[in-house]
Amino acid sequence: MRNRPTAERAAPRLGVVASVALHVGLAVALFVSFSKKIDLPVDSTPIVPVDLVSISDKTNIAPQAIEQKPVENTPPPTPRDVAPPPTPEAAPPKFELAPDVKPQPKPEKPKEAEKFDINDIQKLLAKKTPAKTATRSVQGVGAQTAMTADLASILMSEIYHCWSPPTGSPHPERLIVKYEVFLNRDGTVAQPPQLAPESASAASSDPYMAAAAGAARRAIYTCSPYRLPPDRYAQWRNFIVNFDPRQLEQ
Amino acid sequence: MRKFASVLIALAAMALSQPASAALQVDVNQGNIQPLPIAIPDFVAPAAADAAAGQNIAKVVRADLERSGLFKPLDPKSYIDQISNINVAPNFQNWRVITAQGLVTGQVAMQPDGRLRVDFRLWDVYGESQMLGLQYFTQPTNWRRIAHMVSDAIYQRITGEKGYFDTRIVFIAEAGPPLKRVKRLAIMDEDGANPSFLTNSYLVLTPRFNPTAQMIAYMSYITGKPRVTLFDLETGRSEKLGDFPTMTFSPRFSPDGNLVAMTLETAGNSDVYVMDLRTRKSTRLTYDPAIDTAPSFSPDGKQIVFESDRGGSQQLYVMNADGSNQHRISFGEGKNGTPVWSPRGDLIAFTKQAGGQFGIAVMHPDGSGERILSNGWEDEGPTWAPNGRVLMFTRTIRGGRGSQIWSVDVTGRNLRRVATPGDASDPAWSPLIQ
Repeated sequence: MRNRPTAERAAPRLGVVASVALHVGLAVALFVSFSKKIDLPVDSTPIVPVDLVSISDKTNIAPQAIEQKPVENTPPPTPRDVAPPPTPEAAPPKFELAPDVKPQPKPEKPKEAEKFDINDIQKLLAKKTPAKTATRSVQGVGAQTAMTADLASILMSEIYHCWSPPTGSPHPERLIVKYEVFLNRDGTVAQPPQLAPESASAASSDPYMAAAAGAARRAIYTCSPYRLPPDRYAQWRNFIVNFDPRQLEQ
Repeated sequence: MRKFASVLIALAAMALSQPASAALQVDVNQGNIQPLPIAIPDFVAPAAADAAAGQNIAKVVRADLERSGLFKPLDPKSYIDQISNINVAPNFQNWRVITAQGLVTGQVAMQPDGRLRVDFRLWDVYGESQMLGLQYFTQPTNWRRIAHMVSDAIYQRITGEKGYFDTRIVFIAEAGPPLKRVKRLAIMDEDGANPSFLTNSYLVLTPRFNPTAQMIAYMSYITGKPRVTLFDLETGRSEKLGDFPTMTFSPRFSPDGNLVAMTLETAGNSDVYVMDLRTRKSTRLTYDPAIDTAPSFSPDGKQIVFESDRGGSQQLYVMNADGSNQHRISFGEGKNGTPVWSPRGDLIAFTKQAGGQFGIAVMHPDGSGERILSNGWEDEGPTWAPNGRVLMFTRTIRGGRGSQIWSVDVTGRNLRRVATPGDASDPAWSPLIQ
């Protein structure tokens, strides 16, 4: 067997060497970089002052008034009653051109009721018919109960400052106290807060719970008067507050 | 007709089952932990001769409540109203103005039989109602105890926990240069009043009260060898507990006062023993070749916590009162020793040595919920107030230059030094005085 000439063996060796050199060069070029200062544009965002405005009074849509006619004690309508036959009185009115005469304004007789007698205010008030007050009987979205989160947030931020919760008790997780609070229109406490039955029964048997109820009660009183939107008094005139010390550091 | 009636009843039931009319729900889960502002005017004294007693009692009550860290007695100079009759309702508005939430009115009057009568009422200033009203009769010299009892009653009504003001502290009073230190057994009221020495100039350590606060067990070197000794506060008599050939130390009474758990050292091995004080019979509870010491009973007397280095380092272990079911409860970093079970049962306080410091810490009896309450150069040897709410311990000044007694609330708040006549260490808190 004859050996291949040397040149035949040398040619592929050169190719391999060149290929390896080029690959190494490429790898080096990829890994090595020269430091260069890159000037990125400074994106300075202007500070825009923003006022946070509560729009819950706008979004808390009142219910559409649903007029409910009083149910009369009449027998159900018969098919004949539903479609009464037309009568001659029901004929469409005729349109006629009015004569070109200016109507003379009638001299109006002054009404006695419009006279203002400062000495007889009582009488005037007596004649005044009481304004009809709309009673809202529809619950749900229209009852304006779903949008009281902002009121709850206001009350929470006021009450927690006043609440010195019980600390160091062996079972803080048991000391959740629930009160119903009644407020006057000026934000003062209208009547003694009412302890929820479950809290009251726990407080009667557990001195720690009794102390927790006392601390909650003091918080309700010391926070008075509450600063709440007067126009929404109907929503905050009474509310339930849960004092929960579980998340507090004991 | 019957159908109509049943419909009516159903409708009525539905109406009644509606929730409370208040739709707005407020959840308060953050608080502002503050001491309760309380006004405690001097107690009224109808007779001028009793005025000093009225002033003194009110002063002690103010100091007691302030020291607890849970009350802020208001400066009497800020009062708008003066109390002249405790049997009429105060003008609450005038007390609200000075931010008082509680008001204490009291009266002292000497009785024809020579006893002092003390009445007091605790008022809810905002609720405008009386929360508490009590009356005491005592010898006039006992006025300080009455003041502490008034403080305890107020504390309990407001916090729900029994107070700890009518208690005493037994401790080691230290005096003299470091090489010739004299350590004597001493006792004082919880507020530092009425201090007195119980022993003369020989070395004593680790005093502990029995449940009636009439007897103290401690380790004494009176015979040259450390021995557990009993001291009767009524008679002043002391007695060596047991006739052991070797060293006994670290005594602690059981909650019923019938047993004393202690450590007996034999041939370099320390183990926990229990002695029945009625029969003077002792029972060995641990048999490990490691050092087992510092036993302390649970408040129900069924378990004992102690320290042992059987696992390679000093750690806390719990066992049943008969020695069974020994198991380790502390696994944190550092060494843990001198455990004391809370009278409330919910926590174990101990000395924690980690990071080159000694501190006081607590954990639940199952080893969970470890919390550091104090950290000093050398804070050690905790003792519980009888209500399990406050701890006292020894704080050694850096470099060993004297020692002091400090107290801390179980929440880690209200860390303060306890007044002692000179250097003091190793406090033990008594139960409420009977």
